[in-house]
Amino acid sequence: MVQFFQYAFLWRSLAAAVIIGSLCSFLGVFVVLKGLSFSGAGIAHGAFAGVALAFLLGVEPFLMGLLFSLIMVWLIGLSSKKGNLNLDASTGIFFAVTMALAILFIGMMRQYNTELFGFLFGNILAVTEKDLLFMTLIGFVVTLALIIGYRAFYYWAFDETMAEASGIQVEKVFFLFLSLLALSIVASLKVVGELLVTAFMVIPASSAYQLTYSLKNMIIISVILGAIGSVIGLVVSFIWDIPSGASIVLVLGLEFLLCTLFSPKKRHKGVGGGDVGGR
Amino acid sequence: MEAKTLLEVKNVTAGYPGHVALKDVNFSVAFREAVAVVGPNGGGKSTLLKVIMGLLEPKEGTVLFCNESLMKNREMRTKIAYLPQQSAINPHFPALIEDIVRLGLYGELGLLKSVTKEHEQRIIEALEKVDMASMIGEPFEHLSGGQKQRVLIARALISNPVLLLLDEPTTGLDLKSQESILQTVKDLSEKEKLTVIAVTHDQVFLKNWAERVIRIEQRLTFDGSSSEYFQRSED
Repeated sequence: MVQFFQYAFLWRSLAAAVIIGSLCSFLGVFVVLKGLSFSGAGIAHGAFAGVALAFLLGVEPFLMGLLFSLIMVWLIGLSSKKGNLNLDASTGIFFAVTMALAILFIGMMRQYNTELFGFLFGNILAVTEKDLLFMTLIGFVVTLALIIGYRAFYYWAFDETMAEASGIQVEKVFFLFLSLLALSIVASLKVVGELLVTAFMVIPASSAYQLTYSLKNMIIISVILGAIGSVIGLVVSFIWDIPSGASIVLVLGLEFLLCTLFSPKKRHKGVGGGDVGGR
Repeated sequence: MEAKTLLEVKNVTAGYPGHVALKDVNFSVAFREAVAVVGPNGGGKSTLLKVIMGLLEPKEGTVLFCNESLMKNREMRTKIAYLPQQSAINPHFPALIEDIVRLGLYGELGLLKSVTKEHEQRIIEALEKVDMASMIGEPFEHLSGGQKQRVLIARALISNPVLLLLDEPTTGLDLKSQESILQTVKDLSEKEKLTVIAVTHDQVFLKNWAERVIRIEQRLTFDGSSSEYFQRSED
């Protein structure tokens, strides 16, 4: 355990775990309440296609991932808001198309690229100072936007029509939220990987939901659980020499189990409280 | 003397891409009227509420609220409060009763203004009007359907609206809750002197509260007093 703190790269990984764990858990509260977890998965696929193209072209993977995921957000949003598709269906379409693009880009590469597969499964131990700076910047921008727009996001999550009737431009809030989601997913790819990033968005918020009846408290608890779960997962992965992304998500899953078992909501209804989100 | 007009719906045709929900609808509502909107499912009632709130622009015609178009003057929207159908609300949303009522202050506070003691006092007063002040710190999730509706009405009242729009306020509630919502809405109409427009299928609610009934079946097919409406229904 003492060894853990002797290496600079482990400190970087620890910092990345705290930043990404807190950030995703904050956004995750709204993802869970609005039933947007599938959109999160779709955006992650879009980002991975961008990263794969970046490796093929030899350009910066984070920026290409960001570009692809933002394009994906706007395509999902526009086809669901302006077309006659529901959000689930439009996400499903772009989810499949971007995954196909990723496979195509990987197929066009002449050799196997281990760094690219780090983005698929996550490799927090490979986080560089530049990556950490990028995560900190994105974490700051997203957190600031969520804090400033808190009342609008709250009202939007509660009921869109009432929010719109009260003067909130719900369509702009929706697109802004998806864009913040895209930014955070791109920042998280190296930590947990494309396949596990959705779990990162959903599990801490769902755990927090079991423990409180207040949105503000749900956010605070979710952020704490996300950060603690990420740090514990990282330390466990170091001690047992297991993949870090998987380890973090399994610790978050354990947190969820404990929160559900000790949920005060069980006294009012069946196990696990009520159903969250998706209305 | 004719009562002062609050709302004018003039030759309104409205709908969605490929679908006309309302066609050439005309009526006006005076201050303090209690108007029920009835009609078959898909007849355009909810679309009418959206047009009145300024959330859906008519393809033809205009809606004037206090002689102003809500499409042009968005600030005026805060004078209209809206209560959605209960099925549209997530019953397990993590919020306390006071948090829900506080949402109604958004038009006044926007994103950044702080909530003051005066605002907190108004939250209590709004809850008193619907007889829910004693439960102010309770989770929204713990309430019955009728209590949830009353909290949402308090949320609507806190912005001191001139017009209250209700979308199926008693649908999905048990008999006791239906009676309590009926009494609350009657008090708002009679004691608070609010103008109320309610979309409803509930005949008891209609009979005991509405002064006037408007029937919408894409077009306006009836506009008269509640007694005339029931007389015609019996014929």
